[in-house]
Amino acid sequence: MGDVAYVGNLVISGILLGGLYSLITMGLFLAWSVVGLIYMHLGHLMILAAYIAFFIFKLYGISPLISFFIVCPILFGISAFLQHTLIKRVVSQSFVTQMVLCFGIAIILEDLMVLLWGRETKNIPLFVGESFKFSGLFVSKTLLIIAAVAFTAILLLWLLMSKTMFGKSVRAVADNREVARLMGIDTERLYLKLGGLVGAVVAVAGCLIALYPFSASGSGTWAYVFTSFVVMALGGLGSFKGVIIAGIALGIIQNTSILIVPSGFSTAMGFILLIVMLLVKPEGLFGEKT
Amino acid sequence: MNFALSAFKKRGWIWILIALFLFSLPLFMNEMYLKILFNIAVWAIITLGFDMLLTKCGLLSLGHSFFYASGAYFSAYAQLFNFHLIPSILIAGLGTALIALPLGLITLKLRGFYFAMATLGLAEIAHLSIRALVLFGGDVGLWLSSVYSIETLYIVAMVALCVTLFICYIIENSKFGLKIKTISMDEGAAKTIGLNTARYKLYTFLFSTFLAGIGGGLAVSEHTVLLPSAFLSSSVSFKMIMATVIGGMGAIPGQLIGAAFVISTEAIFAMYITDVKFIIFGLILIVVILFFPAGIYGGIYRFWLSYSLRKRKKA
Amino acid sequence: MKQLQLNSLTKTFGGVTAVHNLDFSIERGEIISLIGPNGSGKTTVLNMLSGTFPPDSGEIIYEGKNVTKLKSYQLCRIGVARTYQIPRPFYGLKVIEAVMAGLIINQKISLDVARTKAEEILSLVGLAKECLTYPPFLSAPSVRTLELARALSTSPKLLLLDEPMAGLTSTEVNECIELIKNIRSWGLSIIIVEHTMQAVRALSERIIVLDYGEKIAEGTSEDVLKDPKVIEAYLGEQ
Repeated sequence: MGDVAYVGNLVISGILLGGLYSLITMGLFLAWSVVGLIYMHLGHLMILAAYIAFFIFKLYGISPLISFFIVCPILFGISAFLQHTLIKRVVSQSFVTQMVLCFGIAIILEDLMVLLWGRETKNIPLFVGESFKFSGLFVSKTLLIIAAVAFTAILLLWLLMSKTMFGKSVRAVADNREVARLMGIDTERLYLKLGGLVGAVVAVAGCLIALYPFSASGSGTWAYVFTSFVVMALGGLGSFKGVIIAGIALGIIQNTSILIVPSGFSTAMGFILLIVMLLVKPEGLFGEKT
Repeated sequence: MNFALSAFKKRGWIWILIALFLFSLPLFMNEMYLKILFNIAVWAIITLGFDMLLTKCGLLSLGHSFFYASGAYFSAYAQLFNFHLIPSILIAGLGTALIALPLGLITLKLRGFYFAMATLGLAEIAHLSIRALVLFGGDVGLWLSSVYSIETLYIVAMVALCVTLFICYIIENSKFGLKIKTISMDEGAAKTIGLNTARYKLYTFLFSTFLAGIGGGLAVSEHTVLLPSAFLSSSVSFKMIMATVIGGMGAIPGQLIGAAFVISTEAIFAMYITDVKFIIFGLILIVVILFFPAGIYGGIYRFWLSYSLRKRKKA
Repeated sequence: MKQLQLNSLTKTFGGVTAVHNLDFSIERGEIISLIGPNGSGKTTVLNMLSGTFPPDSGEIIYEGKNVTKLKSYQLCRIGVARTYQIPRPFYGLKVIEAVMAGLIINQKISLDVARTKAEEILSLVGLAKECLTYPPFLSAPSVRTLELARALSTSPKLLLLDEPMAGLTSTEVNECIELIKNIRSWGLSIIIVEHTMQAVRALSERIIVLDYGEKIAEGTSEDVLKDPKVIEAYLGEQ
């Protein structure tokens, strides 16, 4: 009986973790669908948001769950700035140029954060040790709150994309850039707003990440970058709900893989799953073939 | 690109002089500078491989550091088993290519973005896992047994570089070179004219990883302890991209220039400013990729072109 | 034995059936045209014949062998070459290098021998002067000719041309027609997808008309172009 509960714990935690993973990937997904570029630096922007949330907490005692309202606009601005000055220039250039640019931005951000705030991991341990118990299952309170916020954010994002004028313009551009432009949508302005939005989305994820130990140095950023890549590839490059399902799937697989492999290798499971998936169905679970 | 080759044919003796000069340096140059030149040679070898994969096959290997590290570990272990320097470096290269074979078979089928991500994942996971494995020295790193003088290492590296340059030039002007150029330009069209692109991408990948392994094998021989972060961190992959882009993508001389630039700038930074090293590097990279995509060599080439055009007009 | 035989070829993309139960065949040395309104599946057929993607069902029999599942490079090796509707030259290679590439890939010859052969092919198609030019500096018709030269460099037995006359002036069309007739006299079979009726009439021994992925007519130019179904298919589009 205890075993079932243990596995049940892992699965539930996996689902919750998946919510976070999906949120992290949303920014990448939106940017890719609309602009057609892989924004490799989003993972680093997310960690930047985590640092800002951390310092707001340290200096003013405001919980990261509230400091969204400060961190999101800041990152909206930074991301829109990057979009307007740099990314805009490579939209029509080769894949290599785009990757190199984003990689360059990511490295600058990484070094900047290490320079400003050092290599030690930071953490806002608000709910450490607390857990909810129901019907024999334990769920970490931190994880539960993170998942709640993450899923809410995803829901809000979905509403934004499907119900508002902005969302509809975004989807129009995502479907067919030329036609959208001919129909009067100002793609330049849209990209700018989208760039900002993507920053804001990533900022929410960053505030949540801050509840766990995080760092800009070493693998601190790249592990998340890689996770978002994996989720996106698993979920199919063209699908909103694909990202959510893939995120949850990854969360569950990573957690339950602890049963089979030593804990250090659970990240590797995502990688292996991805490789298997790409060999079998290169478009991902829900993607379209290009 | 053939401009350098024709320049060689016309003035081959200059290159021989340069080679003689470079090989004689250990006689009078001090250790610190030799070390820098050694690192430049090592890095040039790696970058040549990285660039070939990038510009001829259109594959950006974000995790190429994995193969660099693999070379380092092979070489370190070979030396632990009392292999001499040159055999252990060859083992490093061949061992790495051997590992790369199954990895290549899996990942080369993937399109550009997926490939970049798969290699990134490879390097990331290796980085995370290696610290957990005591076999590789765990967190502390692997202590290395043999110590070679910088003079020896320098000469070996220079020889390796010359051989690599020679092979690269031959490839560039050979049938193989022409075939892989078509892959980078339009893989679909290349397939339509009968090229088994998958096979040729694999060959290029194996060569590229072989070079990375050689580079790693050489580099580690200069260290006393093998720390995973020295070979697997993102800054390693970044330096590779920097060297190839800033030097001049697709051009062999560009790779040499790029490697020299990155290593020497790094050395200068090490003396004065360590903290903002990558911020400055990142800014340079962004400026180059946006405004000078042909790199330093591209600039030189364009200048040489306009100069020789002017000369012809006057005549 | 027929050189090429298509049996019940079908291909669907998402919800759209691009090609449905298509049958036709071609004898060695024939020139046939594949015509039809836009979206009738012509390029899809060429894509399947050249191995870009396989059909969902049906077979392609080439010289008696089932080649349905073969990939592009394998099909090229057995003699199938194609050009693209929107040309895809190797932008970074000089004209002669592009042709040399096709030669060395398919024959075991040295670069020097390849260069000589490439020069021959280029003289034949009229691009000899542009040997050392890069594609971005070529005129539009020359780029199309380069496409053709590159396809020829692979020593094809079956040539698939996708709208080779698109955008050409009528003088250029006539030159192209002469060139194709010349090529055919070497014994190649040719399938041309075309809209330019002048060329279709001048070149084809047989025409196959597609509409919404299905064959609606087949025969000589006189028969087909007077066929009421064909007229309706085109008019219906307008």
